[in-house]
Amino acid sequence: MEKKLLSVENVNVFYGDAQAIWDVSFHVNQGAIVALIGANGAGKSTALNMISGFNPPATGRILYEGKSLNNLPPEEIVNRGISHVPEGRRLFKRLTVLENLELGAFNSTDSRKRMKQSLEEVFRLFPKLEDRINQPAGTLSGGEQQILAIGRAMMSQPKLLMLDEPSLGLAPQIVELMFDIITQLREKGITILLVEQNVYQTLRISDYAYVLQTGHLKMEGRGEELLADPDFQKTFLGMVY
Amino acid sequence: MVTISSLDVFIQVIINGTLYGCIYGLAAIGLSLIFGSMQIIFIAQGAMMVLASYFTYWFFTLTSIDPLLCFILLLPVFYALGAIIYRVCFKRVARAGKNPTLLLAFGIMVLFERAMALLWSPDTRSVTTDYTTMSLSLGNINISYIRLLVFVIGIAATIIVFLFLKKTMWGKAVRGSSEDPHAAALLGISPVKVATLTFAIGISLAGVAGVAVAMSYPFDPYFGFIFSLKALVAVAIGGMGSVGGAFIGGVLLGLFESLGSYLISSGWADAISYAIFLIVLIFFPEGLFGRSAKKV
Amino acid sequence: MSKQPFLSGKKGVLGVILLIIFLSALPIVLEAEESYFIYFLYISFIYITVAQGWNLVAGYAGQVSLGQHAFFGIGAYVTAMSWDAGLTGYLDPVAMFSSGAIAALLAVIIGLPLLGKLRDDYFALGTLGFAEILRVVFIQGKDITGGPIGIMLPSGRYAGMTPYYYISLGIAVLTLVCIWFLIRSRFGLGFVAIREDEQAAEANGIPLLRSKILAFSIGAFFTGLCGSLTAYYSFHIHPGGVFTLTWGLLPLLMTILGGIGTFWGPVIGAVLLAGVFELANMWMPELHTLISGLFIVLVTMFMPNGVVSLVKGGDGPPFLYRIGPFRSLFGQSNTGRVSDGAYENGAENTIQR
Repeated sequence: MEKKLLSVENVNVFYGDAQAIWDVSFHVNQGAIVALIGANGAGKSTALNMISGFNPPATGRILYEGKSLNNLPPEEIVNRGISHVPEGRRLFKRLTVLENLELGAFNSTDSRKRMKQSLEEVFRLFPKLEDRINQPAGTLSGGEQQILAIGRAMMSQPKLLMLDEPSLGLAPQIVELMFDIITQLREKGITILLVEQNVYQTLRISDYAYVLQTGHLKMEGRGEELLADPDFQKTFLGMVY
Repeated sequence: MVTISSLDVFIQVIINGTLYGCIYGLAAIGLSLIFGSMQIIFIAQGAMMVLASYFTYWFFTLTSIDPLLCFILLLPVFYALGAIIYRVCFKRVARAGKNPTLLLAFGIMVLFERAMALLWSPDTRSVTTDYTTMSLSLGNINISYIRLLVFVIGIAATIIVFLFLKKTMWGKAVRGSSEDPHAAALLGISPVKVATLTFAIGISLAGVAGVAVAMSYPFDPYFGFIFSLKALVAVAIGGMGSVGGAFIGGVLLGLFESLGSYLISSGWADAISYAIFLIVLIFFPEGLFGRSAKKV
Repeated sequence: MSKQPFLSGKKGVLGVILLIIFLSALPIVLEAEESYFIYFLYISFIYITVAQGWNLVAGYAGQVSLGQHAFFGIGAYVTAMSWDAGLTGYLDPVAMFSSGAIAALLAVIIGLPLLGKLRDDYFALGTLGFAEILRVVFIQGKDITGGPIGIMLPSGRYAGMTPYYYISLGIAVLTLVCIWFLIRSRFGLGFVAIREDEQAAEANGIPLLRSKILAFSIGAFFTGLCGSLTAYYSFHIHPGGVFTLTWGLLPLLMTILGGIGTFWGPVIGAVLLAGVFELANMWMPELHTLISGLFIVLVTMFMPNGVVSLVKGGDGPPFLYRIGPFRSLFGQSNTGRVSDGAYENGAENTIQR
């Protein structure tokens, strides 16, 4: 029986007076790759910000490992094992690659004690980072920066990794690489919640996907199912027969 | 125009200026740290310094224990004071933007200044011990021991802060959070804790500077404001965001002032500082080491 | 922003006219020389003017100036020096206008390099530095400016409180009317556009430097006028009296207290603060300045949006408007927990500049 790692139930999220998410529910099973897809403004990033504690829902619940996340401060949520790689990566560009990674392990004394180990793991996964260890993060290429951002998020040994548009702004070959990496991460036992606009690639690697449109949950299903669905194909893949 | 009558006098002027500048530098480091991480111009830094000067004065007057001890004693006191001021006052205002924080800093300055004037009268005070007037003599040049000590302390403080920022986890967290507080929060770095820490360090540095002032010059409750402004000038010269630069900026400022007073006249000393400030801001916005003050 | 601007429309205009008539009648009704209230109003009108002048450049155009005392002081000195030299007379409109004009000119001169090149907080510091330089210049001015002692004017010419009252009332009304129409003009829209997003404003063809200098110099003009009137009132102008930080920071204080970026904010703030200062001065003169300092701290801590936001129910200062968590304190929205906003500085920085 698949265990639900994260469960979001009937949430409504606002930015000030403007509602961004309307009564949405979804869940992420342990060890799965789950995708939130949709166009710009659909509310995907809002959903992630909600989970990581920056924009708590006005109503509804967020359950993680059975316990509620509502109204916890972001620092605490990181401690529970949820890492959020935001849109645009948001690296510390003036700090070096190593320093960025080190700060990834800042959140708890445990993480810091295991820093050496975590660094080794990250470098094993992403050997290119080790080459650039003392360079300021801002000098890295787009793809390398994205890898660094993911590596940094990994340093806290998360159970749930949330990625917001990792393929954004990257060249096609790098995009492919990115999706390979995501699959690799799943093999290491990390659960992944992936937010993307790149629908085709995302659905190919996802176990399950939710489709958001202007803050509402429009469709959901297993990756291949959605890809095969003609309505879906028309709306999101532009395939008109 | 005064002609340079002898090399010795000139060198004395330079040395005096440099050493006086160390006090600006000490005040400036704290200011730079606070500004760099929180974008708050803590204009009350000078008032905090003067408070420390008063503590030193009363400590010595009431206990007759060597006031040098205050350099160490006041560090934790002012560290705590900084943390408290942040938590109580600035934390809630931080989200409202730069104007209210500037105003709040100003209000705190006024409050502290007036309180000190009421409590301890606006009369000038100074701390004199047997050694405050002693100095090292090299030929015709005198270097006051106290000022030499301040110089050493200033360098030490700069190095310590620098190492803290570069080598420790919290230091890196401060640097990261200054650049992108949201990203830092995503990693579990609480912006409130970072802010409290930088504020505490900043004010403790003001405390150290205050002890230095007490031992070097006469002071009064309103002395602090000019110091705050000079410290800002120092930060601008050194470059916004650079802690080492702030100290160097302070020393340079002291130097310029001293030279200016000597070559032109002492009444113009303040104006010279502000003129330097404007020139630096307009023509050299990066200062020596820092990030740009110009529009992006 | 669906509420009507306060006091607009026919009812509003009528109300304002009645208020002006009422205020004009006061010195006749009350014994102008003896009345403390008349003096209080006089001071308030001056405060209103300098506050609104600052609000124009800082609240509407978004350029925070910490050097308003430069313009106040210049205004005072031009008037004093010109009277002392026999060029103009007592309560001379030519002198007053010139004082304002010269202050405005100064604003243009200093504004060109500062506004052209500096980002917001550095501009603020630049204005502060400039004002301080000016102060030293006047202290060192020896025979030209009277040095630290300043200029003494013939106090025998004092013609009673009444003219001062009316002049200050006139200046305040003039300032408010000018600014009212200015912000509704295309210049005013330009200011707000610049404040909200400079790059977008520029991209839309708004001349950045010209607009900023316009706001800066208009504010300087009215501030200079006040300096001039104050010179006539005190009969003694010295650098320590006019180039003080008080005149530099009072406008800030009053405007932020009342509500920066709103029209009535500075007015409310000015009157309120004048009241606080005068009361504190009366009851506890020793503690007066201490209480003022405490007041500043408390207001900025608990009401950074200013009084106006309380009165208008959150429809307050536009650029503080989008700080969601604070508005929720007034029951405006349900964003849930008020987040520890310290790190919102980062986001806020990208929004504002």
